[in-house]
Amino acid sequence: MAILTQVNSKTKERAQAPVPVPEPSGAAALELRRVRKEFGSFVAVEDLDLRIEPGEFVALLGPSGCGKTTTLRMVAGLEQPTSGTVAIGGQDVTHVRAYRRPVNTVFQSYALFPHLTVAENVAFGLRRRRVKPLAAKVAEALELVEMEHLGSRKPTQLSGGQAQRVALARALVNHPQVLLLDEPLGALDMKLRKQMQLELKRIQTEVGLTFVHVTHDQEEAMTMADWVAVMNKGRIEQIGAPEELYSRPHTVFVANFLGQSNLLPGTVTGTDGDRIVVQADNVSLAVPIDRAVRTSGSVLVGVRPEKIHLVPVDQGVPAGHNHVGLGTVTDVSFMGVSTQYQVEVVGLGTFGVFTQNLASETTVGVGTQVNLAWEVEHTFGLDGDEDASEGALDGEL
Amino acid sequence: MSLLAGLGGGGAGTAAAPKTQARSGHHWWLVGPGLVYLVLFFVLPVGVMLVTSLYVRQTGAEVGDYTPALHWQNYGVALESFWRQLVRSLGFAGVATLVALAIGYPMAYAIAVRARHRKLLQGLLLVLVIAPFFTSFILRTIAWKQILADDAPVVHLLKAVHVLPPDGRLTATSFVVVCGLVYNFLPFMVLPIYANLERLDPRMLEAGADLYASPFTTFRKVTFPLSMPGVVSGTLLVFIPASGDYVNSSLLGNPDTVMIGQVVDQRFTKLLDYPTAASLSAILMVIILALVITYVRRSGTEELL
Repeated sequence: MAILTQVNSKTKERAQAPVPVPEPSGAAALELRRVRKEFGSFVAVEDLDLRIEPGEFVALLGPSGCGKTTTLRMVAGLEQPTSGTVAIGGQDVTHVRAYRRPVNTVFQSYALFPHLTVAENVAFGLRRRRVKPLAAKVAEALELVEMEHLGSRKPTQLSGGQAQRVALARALVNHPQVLLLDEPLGALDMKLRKQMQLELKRIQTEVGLTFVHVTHDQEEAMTMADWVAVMNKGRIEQIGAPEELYSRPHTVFVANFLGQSNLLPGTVTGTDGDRIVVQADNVSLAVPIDRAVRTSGSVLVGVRPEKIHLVPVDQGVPAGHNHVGLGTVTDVSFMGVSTQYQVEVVGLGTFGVFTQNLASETTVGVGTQVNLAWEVEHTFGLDGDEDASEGALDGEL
Repeated sequence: MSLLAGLGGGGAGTAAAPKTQARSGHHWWLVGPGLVYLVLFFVLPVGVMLVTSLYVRQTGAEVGDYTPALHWQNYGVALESFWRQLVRSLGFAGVATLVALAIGYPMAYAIAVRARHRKLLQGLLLVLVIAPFFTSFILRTIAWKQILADDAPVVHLLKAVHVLPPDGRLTATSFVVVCGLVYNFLPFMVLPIYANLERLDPRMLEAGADLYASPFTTFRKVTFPLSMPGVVSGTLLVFIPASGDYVNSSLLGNPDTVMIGQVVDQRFTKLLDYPTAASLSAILMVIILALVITYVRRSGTEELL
């Protein structure tokens, strides 16, 4: 179980929203306490706290420059934190040199030794620690990544996917307390990447090691990790299970970076049982209190595009739904399994809506008037002082 | 044999490039000028030298007047008379190469790796390595002769601190001849190693550290093996010219430090004994070729051949 205790006034307020925080028992596989890294005047990592339990697969997800790789390098010992402590298996290793740390890294560029064969690359770490039986362990590791037939090749004779497997075997064979993966799939093409994602997950389950995986690919993070820590500007914005992060983001950045969101600025006008009532333009919307990071003042009401229903004007909006009134369809993109709509609602702006292309659904043409509605339970509330476009990728919808 | 390959190419990663070029190959005419040059100024002279080495002097002929023949005995005579100088040359060149490697590798490492992020310093250090080439090789060696002369301050100082015995001297010793060789050929060691280390991927060092190798072990198991093409080029570029050198031992040595180059020079220009000079040159060439091939094979850097 991973927990987050970010020391930051803004996030303290957000901590009202429930984050699973059971008291851990025993030593964490990895624990970062108030770790900070500055390069000159640039703060790459800002007072980061992170605790990872043995056997977990945690993804550090964020855009380039968010500090995720720097964090990983501080765990590996390749960077020294400006302040804060790093503990591995309960041992403070902040000032321990990289080669004495019980961690191994799968580097982004693989960094295989070109003068050694595949088998010698895998044996490198074992030889340094004089682990026996060498040959059997190397063979076992190569078998795990299905590379046993290429042990005598040189790295220059391998394809990208093969080199990636060797890099993984070279790290895994040492049975590190924490295995660090620095965008290991970044250089692979889409199809191979999907295959390796499943394979990495299989291997992690099989060997039961703690994996910390750095990536900028939200789909990759959600596919593989037990816990995803979303990083932005040197801080962890939110950490949780993939479904949790997706359905109940705590910040605009998370809402936009992990999938897409429709965010409507509004003001809390009161409560109604376990819901808050938000006035957005001339529409009143309900947000469950346990899905809102603040219950007063200005908020952003959020809903995921696939949660919105397009209701034909001649049908009524079902009860228990938030309803933003009539909109005009301005764009329709057929995507195969789904269709993406852009719907313009006067006073509220443009909504993105995804619908499944089920047999029962009929497609709606451009210019059609529709009602937009979604279940109250699918609504989330964010801090209204945040920039509603933060973390959104242009042209990604 | 392309020794200079180590300066530009070399490493395992670039090994595949020339092959693809050769395959696409409509550009063979590009080697034309070089080929003509090599034939005119290398292949032909070597041929002439080999033929000359078999000439014979007829009884009663003038000094320097030889008749074409197949007089194989010239080789036996040359070897018998000058094997000491031959062995000494290879010995001096070998020691000079090792010393140049010991001095040159750290220099190249410092310039390539330590000064990596300070381009200005790196450029300045490289200029310093090359700077001696701006003055003549012979002039510099004569300068050394004067600096190390018996009545010069260096010798006085060394005697004062008892490094040298009261009757000791620096010039006219084997030690100084080897020092001269090291001094003159050091840049040929530094530059190929520099070119190699400069391309060393710093992530290799991180990977070493990540896999439990201390900085020293990383150097031994990763950095040094990866720089082998540079080391091999450098050692060859020092060893080959050093073993044929005649300037350092003429200017800095004594009759007991005579190297084979001096013998060839003397036989050829002073005694007009062309067959002996030619056969000694041929012997030296064969020995060097044999040594180089064995060395390159054993160091596993065949791509240099």
